[in-house]
Amino acid sequence: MNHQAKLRGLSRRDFLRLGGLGALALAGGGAVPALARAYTRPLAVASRPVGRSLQAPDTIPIHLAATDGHISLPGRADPLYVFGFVNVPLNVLPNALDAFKGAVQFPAPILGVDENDDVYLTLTNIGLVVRPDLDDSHTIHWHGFPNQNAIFDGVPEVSISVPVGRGFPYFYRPRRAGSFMYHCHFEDVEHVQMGMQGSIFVRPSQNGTSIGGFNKFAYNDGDGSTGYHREFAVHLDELWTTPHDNLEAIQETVWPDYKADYWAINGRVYPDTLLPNNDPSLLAQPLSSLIQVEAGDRVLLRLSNLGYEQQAMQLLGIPLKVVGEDATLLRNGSVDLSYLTNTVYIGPGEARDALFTAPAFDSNHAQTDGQGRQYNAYWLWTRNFQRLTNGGPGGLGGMATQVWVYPNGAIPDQAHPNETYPEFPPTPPYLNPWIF
Amino acid sequence: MSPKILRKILLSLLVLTGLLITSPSAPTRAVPSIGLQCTTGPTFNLATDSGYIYTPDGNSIFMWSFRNGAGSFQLPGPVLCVNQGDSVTVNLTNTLPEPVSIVFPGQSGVTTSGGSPGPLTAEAAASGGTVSYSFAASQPGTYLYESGSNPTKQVQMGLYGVLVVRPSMGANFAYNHASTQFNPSREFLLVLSEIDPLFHRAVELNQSYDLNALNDDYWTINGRAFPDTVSDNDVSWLPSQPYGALVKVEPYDANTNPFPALIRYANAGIFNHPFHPHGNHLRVIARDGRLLRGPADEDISYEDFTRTIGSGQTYDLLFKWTDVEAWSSGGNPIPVTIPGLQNLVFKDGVTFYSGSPYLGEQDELPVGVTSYNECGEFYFPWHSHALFEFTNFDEGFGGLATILRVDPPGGCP
Amino acid sequence: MRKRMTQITGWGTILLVIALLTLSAPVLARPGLGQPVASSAMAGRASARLAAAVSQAVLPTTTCPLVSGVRTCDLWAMTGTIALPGAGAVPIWGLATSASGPAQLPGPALIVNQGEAVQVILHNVDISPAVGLVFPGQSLFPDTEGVAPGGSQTYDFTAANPGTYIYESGTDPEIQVAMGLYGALIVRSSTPGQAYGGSASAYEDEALLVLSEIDPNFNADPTGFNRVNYAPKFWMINGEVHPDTDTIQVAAGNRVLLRYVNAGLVHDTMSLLGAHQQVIAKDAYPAAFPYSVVAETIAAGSTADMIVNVPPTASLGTRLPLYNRQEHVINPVNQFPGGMLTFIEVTSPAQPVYGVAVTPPTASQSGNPGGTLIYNFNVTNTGNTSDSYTVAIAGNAWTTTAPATLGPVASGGTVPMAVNVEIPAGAANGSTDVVTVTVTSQGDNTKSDSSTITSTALSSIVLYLSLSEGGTVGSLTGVGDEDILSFNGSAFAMLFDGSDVGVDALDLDGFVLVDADTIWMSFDNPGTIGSLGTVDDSDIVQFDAATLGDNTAGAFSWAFDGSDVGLTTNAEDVDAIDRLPDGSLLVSTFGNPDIPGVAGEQDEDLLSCTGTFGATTSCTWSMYFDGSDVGLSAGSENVDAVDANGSIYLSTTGNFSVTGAAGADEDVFVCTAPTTGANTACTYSPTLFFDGSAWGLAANDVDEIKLP
Repeated sequence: MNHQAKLRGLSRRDFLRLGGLGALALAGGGAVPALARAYTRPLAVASRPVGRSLQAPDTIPIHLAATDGHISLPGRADPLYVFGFVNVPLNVLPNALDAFKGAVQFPAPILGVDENDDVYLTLTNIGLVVRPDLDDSHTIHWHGFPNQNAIFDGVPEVSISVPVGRGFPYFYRPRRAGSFMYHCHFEDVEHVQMGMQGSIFVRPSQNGTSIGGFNKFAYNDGDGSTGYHREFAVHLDELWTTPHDNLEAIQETVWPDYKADYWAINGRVYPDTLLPNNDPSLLAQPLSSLIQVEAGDRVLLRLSNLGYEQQAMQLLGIPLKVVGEDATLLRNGSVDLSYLTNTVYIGPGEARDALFTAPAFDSNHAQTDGQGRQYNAYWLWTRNFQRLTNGGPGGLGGMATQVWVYPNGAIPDQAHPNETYPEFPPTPPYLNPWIF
Repeated sequence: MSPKILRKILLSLLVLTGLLITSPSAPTRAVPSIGLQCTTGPTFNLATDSGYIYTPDGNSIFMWSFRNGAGSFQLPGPVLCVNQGDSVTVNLTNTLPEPVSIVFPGQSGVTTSGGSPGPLTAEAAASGGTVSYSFAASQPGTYLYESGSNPTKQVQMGLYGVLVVRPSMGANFAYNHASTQFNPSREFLLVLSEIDPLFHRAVELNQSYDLNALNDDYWTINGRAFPDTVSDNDVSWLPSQPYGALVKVEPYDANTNPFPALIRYANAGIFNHPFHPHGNHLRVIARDGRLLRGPADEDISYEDFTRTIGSGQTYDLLFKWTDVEAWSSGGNPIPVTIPGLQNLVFKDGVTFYSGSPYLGEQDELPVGVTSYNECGEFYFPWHSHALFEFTNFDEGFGGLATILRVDPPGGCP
Repeated sequence: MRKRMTQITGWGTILLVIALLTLSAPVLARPGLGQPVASSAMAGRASARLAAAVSQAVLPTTTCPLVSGVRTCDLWAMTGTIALPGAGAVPIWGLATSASGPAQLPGPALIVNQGEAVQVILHNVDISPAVGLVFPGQSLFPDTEGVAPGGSQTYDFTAANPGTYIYESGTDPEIQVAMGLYGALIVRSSTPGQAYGGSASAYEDEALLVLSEIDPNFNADPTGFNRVNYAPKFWMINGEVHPDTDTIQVAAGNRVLLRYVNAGLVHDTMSLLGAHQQVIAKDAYPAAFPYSVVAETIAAGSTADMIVNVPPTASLGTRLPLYNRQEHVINPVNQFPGGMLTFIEVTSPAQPVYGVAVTPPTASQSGNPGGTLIYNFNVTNTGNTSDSYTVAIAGNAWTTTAPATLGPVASGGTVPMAVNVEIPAGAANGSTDVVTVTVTSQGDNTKSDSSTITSTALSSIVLYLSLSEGGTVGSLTGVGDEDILSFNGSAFAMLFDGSDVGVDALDLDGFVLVDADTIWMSFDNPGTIGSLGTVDDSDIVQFDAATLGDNTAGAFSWAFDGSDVGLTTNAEDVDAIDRLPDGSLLVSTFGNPDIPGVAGEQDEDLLSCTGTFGATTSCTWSMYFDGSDVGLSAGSENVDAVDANGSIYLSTTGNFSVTGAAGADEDVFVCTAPTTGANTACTYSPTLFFDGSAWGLAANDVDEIKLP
């Protein structure tokens, strides 16, 4: 929070100690023409063509706005104050952005791009509704993006941050397929906890070719071993409601006292995790955590964790095969390092790509969904069972969702990741919580 | 007065004094002294000692640690460097008011002489007792050494250090395998730990404290909290924290810079820390002093962008940064227009940024922005992603973090 | 394995012992070691533990009785207490082995064999609202419904895969697991002494370490407690905190298998001093590439198998600390040592462990007949002590040589082993020989490893022949008329060297290759052969070869006594022989014979003798091939070499001239599509099958032939 940041972060004394960083280079001087360049949004680029070629890189424009809002947590009377990013139209006029103030999206939209695409991501800081006194800047840090130039790495102390009312054109050329994350790096301990975080899929250039009966893959595996029929972001985060309430009440938070009280998957806690995409009761948490598949499907779970705690994720009754870690295929040449497990141990800032094959439908354990379709339910939860709570005593809550396995043919092929059947259209001004 | 209030006063004072006193004098070290700093053996005389370390927010914390013989108090203990096959002897003199011992995780056949039996190994009695430990450094790698006496208390108090065993293949290899060759001028050790200042104060004042109620406020690399971690080795203002943690590299080049940096992680703390380098993936080549190779020499090393380092674990990693896109203002400009910098925010008016998005280039910065950029080099944080550990007390951009500095090819002039 | 069965593995999981009281018969003789101990008095507990620590308890081979072939485990879920130092009796929900309890924490370890049908019968005594069990890693639908108090629920599965598993409550697990409703399931590999099959999982000692923790405030009010405040204070191994934890008692030099099961709610990083731990499996999935660690984080709810090589030099009483490196090694308040701490304790002297590995496990090469193939192997001492080895070869027909013994080899050392395989000169193209080379430990002859060698002959033999004169044939010098040569279309090789077996005084003028190492042969004059005494030139002997080629060796026996079947005169000397698929013998004689029951027979004819052969021969003669019917006449066209399987290949004692073909005595010609019997017919091939003069045999006479 800038009004306090004057006292925060690196003191001058600290900076002058930075011997290892070499000589002090005082820059500055008067304004020069270079500084007078007008900011122009790079959205005049060609929009994404249909039927994208696998080889020729595409130009991917994305526009995110940074703002605040509230989310809903079971067992809690008041909605929880959060910061976040929201998916806004590419061609939105600056004043039309006001419609998105306070319309936060938690977690931030899933960004899906292809390997070697040219990704133009514009971040516009449209300010906060609840705390107009806060003029916090924001950034986008593509977590795990290799060999980035500092200017696009989104760390305010080593490059720049974006103040309220301004925008910045981040550019990425992802050359590494896999599951990544992104988050704000400005006062990160606060802004990430407040909700400015999401997941990124980089699709391998192998996609579209047919290998081993698949045409969608987690990695350029060459043999279809990472092929899948359906994919799901399983984005983990835990919430410590104290700083959220403190911010709303204009109070300080002592971060070392970190003590989470809600544990979320895709921004939702059980039982809300089972509601469909864009559920009207969860406007600011539009991304469902429910995993609906058909018997025999090979399913890719893209697990990512931007909470501050390690989790032990289990899909009770179905073994997981971990084929990727931190956007890296678990293979060295001919040496296969992938592994089967019942427990995916995943720390903060880590990503795992886990495959499972949906078991045959078992009519002895059938349940019926809202559409009258039968399915088998399997729990996907953190084995840190003390975290299966919603802020207090009582029964199951928190970081738990389910995999619903339907008989073959019961649900359509997946049109987009995390698709639910049915799912609601986004409620204006919201767009969908995924950008592909 | 609460430590928090104390901190704020200290901090504001330091800001002022920083301006008044230190502005005129730029850092004087011509050749920055960074990277692994060895104390060589194979016979070491260590003594336990107590002293104080400093945190960037102006706090000072009572610690216990190992010092080198008659040397002065330091945290962590000396980095013990030996060669594979050496017969290592560590003679311990204990000046602390309770028995202390040393265990050597990853070493086998450790023999002791003197001292008295303790729960885990032979101990040196309180206030002047001695004990000796001997073992053969049979396998290369990165290892911890730490107190084996009430470690719940003593290791947290600072009684830990690192042992580096050089392979017989030579000091430019991490292990006896060609794949582990690295650039000897790019060898870095990062030892992680945590500090609950109230617990340390209780020990200092000989008050009781429930170790089950530890609540850390500081997180350290090599005994320093960021940004002190990026200061040189042996800087005068950190007299008891000699080891810097800045990681500095130049872009990979097959001809002029072919070998990676070697990063040695060790977690002396009691928490598993998720450690995240910006810049590039790291390749984990060894765990706890054992090379990640299969029975038929299969390469079972792996890359990741965050490594959760378990308590008591060590990792050896190879690191390269590659200028993949080779952007330059001349032939290969970035395809977007950077807004006028005066329209952006440089946090707290200070930055590591050069004013230019291009490696090796500098450009103007807005009036009043202080830059620590030398020649257009890049800086990236390297930090715990349990982000509350990326703080000093509750000050952001501190704690369990250091910085990766990427110089343009050939380095800064 | 025998050693494992008798070796002390001291953690002595006392709860297992009590479990066995009802689950399995063998250890009924261990009363009084029950856990939990009713008394909360530390002294009493300490003495009970002491008794346990020195007990010779061993992780049993199995628990749960076999009921009509099904491994049947009855478990009772019930409330109870355990005593913890300074906290008195802490309420738990546990699993018991009888309706009368007591509830155990952790629950009884279920130990079954790979492939067994397993039935777990859960009886809910008093856990509300319901209890159900899940078995991660087993193929049955997770029970998250459970059964109400008073009811029971049955779980059936087949223990398909070996390993260390957890079982735990699947109903309100956020409360019930934290209260203690969990245990370990061990599936023993079908390979004794190997946790997962394969040498990487071999062990002599083993221990089960069920890790968990307790926050007494939670246990005091499990449903009312705010789990956000969960703050464990007791850190347990097998439901005990140090000093009550049992040590893991091992022999120096042994491999001890640590079966970790983290049944707690938090992750535990377990560290060992004095030796590395080799991670061989997690969640009972064997690691493709085991790796060595000092400290490994075992995530909540997961399992890990690690093998520790106890230093063989460790003296008796050596204790390797094994503890939670998050330093949960205190009991409240600040009592060190305590908590999640135990020791691997050397209670037996080093016991040599022998082992050997031969690489590669299989090998194959190809080469020309008469040549020698050389195979190089590595023999590694996989035991923990120096050892020597005995090498045995088996299954081979071809001459194979290997060192009789190897070593001594230091532990972990490797020595080379060369094995030579000689391809017989007569080996047909593509013919193979398989030999198994077995290397056996001299320290423990139950430990051996072997490699299978397959050798293949390359060159294509087109003809075997014997000559009437010795000398140099092709590049072959010193050929005798008593030898048999092979010819591959370009070169000659020695198949049978008569001088090696004492028949050099004779001229071998007839032979049949019965099989790879059996030859029938006849000679042109009476002579002494082997131990048979004098053999007439109308007789046929059998040679059983030990080796063939340049170093021929073997034994002779009777195959055919001509005098028994009317071959008595010199004219009835056998000078060409063959055998037909039906076993009958074909004979051509030196002169015109007088064979009983046959008319008009001459030396260019082939007579078949059908009957029994050997020292005593009896057979019925008949005309098989009447040379005169197909243009052969007596004298120079006397047939002295024949192969009569299919087309009839012939060579004569002199020049021959028949319809469509002519040649000399060193040539082989072919009579195709023969009609045999008294009225013989066939068509001569216009080209010679073998033109002897083209191979420098103009001055020689091919006096017997055979085709491969």
